[in-house]
Amino acid sequence: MGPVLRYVGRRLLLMIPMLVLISFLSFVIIQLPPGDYVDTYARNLASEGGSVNADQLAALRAQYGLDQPMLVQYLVWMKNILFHWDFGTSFAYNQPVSEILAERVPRTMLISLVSIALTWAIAVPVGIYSAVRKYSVGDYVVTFLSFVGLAVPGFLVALVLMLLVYDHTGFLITGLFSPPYREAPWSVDRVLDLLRNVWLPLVVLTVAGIGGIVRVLRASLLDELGKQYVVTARAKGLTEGQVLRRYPLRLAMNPLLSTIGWMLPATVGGEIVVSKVLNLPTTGPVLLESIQSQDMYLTGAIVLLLSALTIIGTVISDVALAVADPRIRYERSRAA
Amino acid sequence: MHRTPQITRRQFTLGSLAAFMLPLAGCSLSSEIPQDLPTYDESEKSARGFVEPPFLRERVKAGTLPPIDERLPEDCFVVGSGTLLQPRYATWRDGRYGGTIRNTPTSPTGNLNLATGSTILRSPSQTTDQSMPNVVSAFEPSPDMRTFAFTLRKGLRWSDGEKVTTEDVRFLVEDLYQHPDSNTPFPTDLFTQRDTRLAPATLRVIDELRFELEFAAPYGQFVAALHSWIPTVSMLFVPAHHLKRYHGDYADPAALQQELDAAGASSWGELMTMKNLPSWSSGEADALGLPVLNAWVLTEVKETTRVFERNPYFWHVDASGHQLPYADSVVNYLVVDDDALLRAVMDGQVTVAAGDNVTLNNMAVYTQSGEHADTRVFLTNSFNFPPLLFLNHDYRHDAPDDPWQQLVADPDARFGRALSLAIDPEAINRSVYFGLHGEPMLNSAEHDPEKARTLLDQVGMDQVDDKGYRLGPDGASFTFAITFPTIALDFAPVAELVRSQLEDVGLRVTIKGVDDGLFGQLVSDNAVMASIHWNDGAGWSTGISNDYMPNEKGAWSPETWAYVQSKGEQGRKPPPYVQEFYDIASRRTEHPPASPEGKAAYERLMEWLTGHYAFIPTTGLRVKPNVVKNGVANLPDAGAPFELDTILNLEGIWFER
Repeated sequence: MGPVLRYVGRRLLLMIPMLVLISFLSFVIIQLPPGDYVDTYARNLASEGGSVNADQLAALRAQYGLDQPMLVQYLVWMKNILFHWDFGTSFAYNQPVSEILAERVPRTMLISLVSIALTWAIAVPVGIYSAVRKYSVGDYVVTFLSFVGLAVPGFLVALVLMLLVYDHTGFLITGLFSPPYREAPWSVDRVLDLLRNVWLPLVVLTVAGIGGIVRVLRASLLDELGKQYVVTARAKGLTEGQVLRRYPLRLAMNPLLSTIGWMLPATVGGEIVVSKVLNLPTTGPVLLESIQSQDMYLTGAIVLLLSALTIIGTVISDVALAVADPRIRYERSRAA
Repeated sequence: MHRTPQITRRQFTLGSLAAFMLPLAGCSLSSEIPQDLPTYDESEKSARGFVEPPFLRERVKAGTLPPIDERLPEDCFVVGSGTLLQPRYATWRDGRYGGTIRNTPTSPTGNLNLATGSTILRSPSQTTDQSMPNVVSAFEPSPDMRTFAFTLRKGLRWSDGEKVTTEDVRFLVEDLYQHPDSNTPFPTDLFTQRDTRLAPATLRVIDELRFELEFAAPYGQFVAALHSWIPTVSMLFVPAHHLKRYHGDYADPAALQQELDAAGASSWGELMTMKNLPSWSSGEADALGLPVLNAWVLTEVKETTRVFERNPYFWHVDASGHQLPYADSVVNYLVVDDDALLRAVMDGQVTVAAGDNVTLNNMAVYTQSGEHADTRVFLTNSFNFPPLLFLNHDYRHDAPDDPWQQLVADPDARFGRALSLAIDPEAINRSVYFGLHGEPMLNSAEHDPEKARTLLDQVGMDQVDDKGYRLGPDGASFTFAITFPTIALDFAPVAELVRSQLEDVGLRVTIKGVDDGLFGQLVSDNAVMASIHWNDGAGWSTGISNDYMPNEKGAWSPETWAYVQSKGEQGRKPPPYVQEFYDIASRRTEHPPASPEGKAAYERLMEWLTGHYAFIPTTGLRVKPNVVKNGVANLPDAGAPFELDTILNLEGIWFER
């Protein structure tokens, strides 16, 4: 395991300068559009009928530290993160950024992880079936459905399903909980209510993911099943199931393992569009809103978090690949 | 050997899943929260003739709250027929205590800021002429409209029980507005004639209950500001006893440092702006614990919920001895966007949906879901004008011979008139607003495309290019570019219709919808030739709103405004015809809007705005739906003039069941 550990260590060390660069770039890019959060605030106030004069705007800018040059703002922000673990305060929510994320990230991750688990649990067997029973009726049905799942946008599925349910049962999904259970303490009824509401986002997120995995698995499995060692294995008397499980499936999983990497930031970023459509209190809508209103500390912190997770995720999937496939490990250490 | 029955793992999984699903199928979890109305005896009155709200009786019994006779001032503000809304627009019935008002706004306060914004003076609806003292008990302007004398209500208290005195006014004016470190500058309404170049008000405290404000020049419009839910009572009154702990000159340094650290503020001025929140932000987390003069007080802040409870010291009562508000609490449940808000309304989760929370485009949805949601819909007119076509008179002002400048600076305003004649308000009304909007109004009342074509010929746009579009007065190709922020569902279809109507008279038109943030930036960069936007036109005549100024909403002259505000350092020096506007606007502020001089000045103002085509209404007076739960009383009738009154007067609604 020595070379693997060294490899992981090297990758994680490389992460630090990358994160610094990403954080600086994202901080700069967020502030590139002319104007700042105070402009957004003044515009919102104006559209509700209120007004602020120039002095009040200047006072707000001073309060938020927006009258400093950008480099100073960035250095202050970095200093607070590194020494105080303080990601700044969100202007829009008027709360520390870490509090907002602490509220939303666990929930987002839970929904994402459950939907990923469901996706894999359905897609892998279906993909295997599709490859093994190539060109059968079942294969065609599955292929058709996966193309539909890939083509139809998630938010459309969400909207249509939601309205179908409303039409037939009169029950409208307006969030993770129905009004009577929103702030109620946990109870059996509350869990049941959660299930009544959460099945829809899970279905939508799962459907979106199944198509891709089925197709990839089918293709790579078909690739492997055509190879000579499979013929040899059959000739040696292994059952079909054993032949499938012991060699081709492991190899066919490689492309899927390499996608685990970017799944990690996706679980935290959360599906933005579906979350907005279904009114889920996850990180997706928060990120969208904060970008639109130039709430720079919140946006910067989320981008930083997602970048770090992407890098970590890529390391994890590289390691997973190396562990699962000795050929990669062997090639790598040979090259090293 | 006895073998215990075995089940495979698969059987176990499927079996338990099925067992789990059964209760789901069987049970019916309701998503309605029933109103929990308390039963109490109306005839049980206190010595002064008031009925203690059941919601507060426990606390009074326990001794943590004084009884109602001691909480109310000597002289209460009595709400009855015609107080909050004129009798011809609403029927008032004294109500009963109890119930929770539920909202699902997209921001913590939502439009509850309207309902929690007490004003210094009160006149029904958006008028300012049937003035009744509200926070104050007496109000006297001097004949020259420069000095205003106020007397506070004896016994009026903040929501935490402390007395309201002139110290609250003095602290705000001297220790905040005038203090260099407070980060709290004077609001626009406290400047003489709303002009930040002139002197702000001077305060004279006479005693604990009386004070005077003096301005440098006649400022009759200040009377309207005292009625307006835009600046509200926070313009002059803040809870000094509470805010002093955040003030550098009053707070104990150690305690202040603790507060600064807890809030993450670097100066007490920053801390003060975080804590001294106006009613616009009454739902923000920092408003927890801030004493207010509103009907409801924020008591609970959770991630997506805000709960407000009745203010025990609210000084509005009805003639039967009830202390307003009737509803005991307000719950704001935050939703991500307007679509989620719509679904909440469809599901019956919102008690009163009005103003920004509803649009006419969704009428079909509101009506269709009425039965399931137990709601009804009624239409009222609006505080806002319908979408207007704004013309930016400053566009390309730095190019001396620019054709656009030639067209807008034309003393006969022929181009503007041509545009207004080409626009067909009735067609737009039929297509976009179900024909429900009012008659064509102001400078677009006449629709005559032939006359429009003649006028365009007269201004030198009689040549056409090879596609048939008119060339500009300089002979080069001319594009009328309309930009609009995508803040409302109706802007895009209105823009499309305006385009086709203008193309009908030969103009080449482009339309572009942009995000509101980008629109603001384009306006600041003076990159917008024409835009579609609305403003509070229906609220101008009484002085409640003043957003006819050139930088507001569609911005018909942002550069001259910048020049005036920066005292000449930035922007564009107003050309004589725009300077005329500034003079008229200043003159108007000298008189109360409801006075004869004020009304005449308003006429002159509207004459300028319409005659110079600062904006052109694209359709008739706006109509808005109000979606309310059945069984709620004291709401406006259909046809009431302002949809905002439905929310402003929430203190008076009560639940019949």
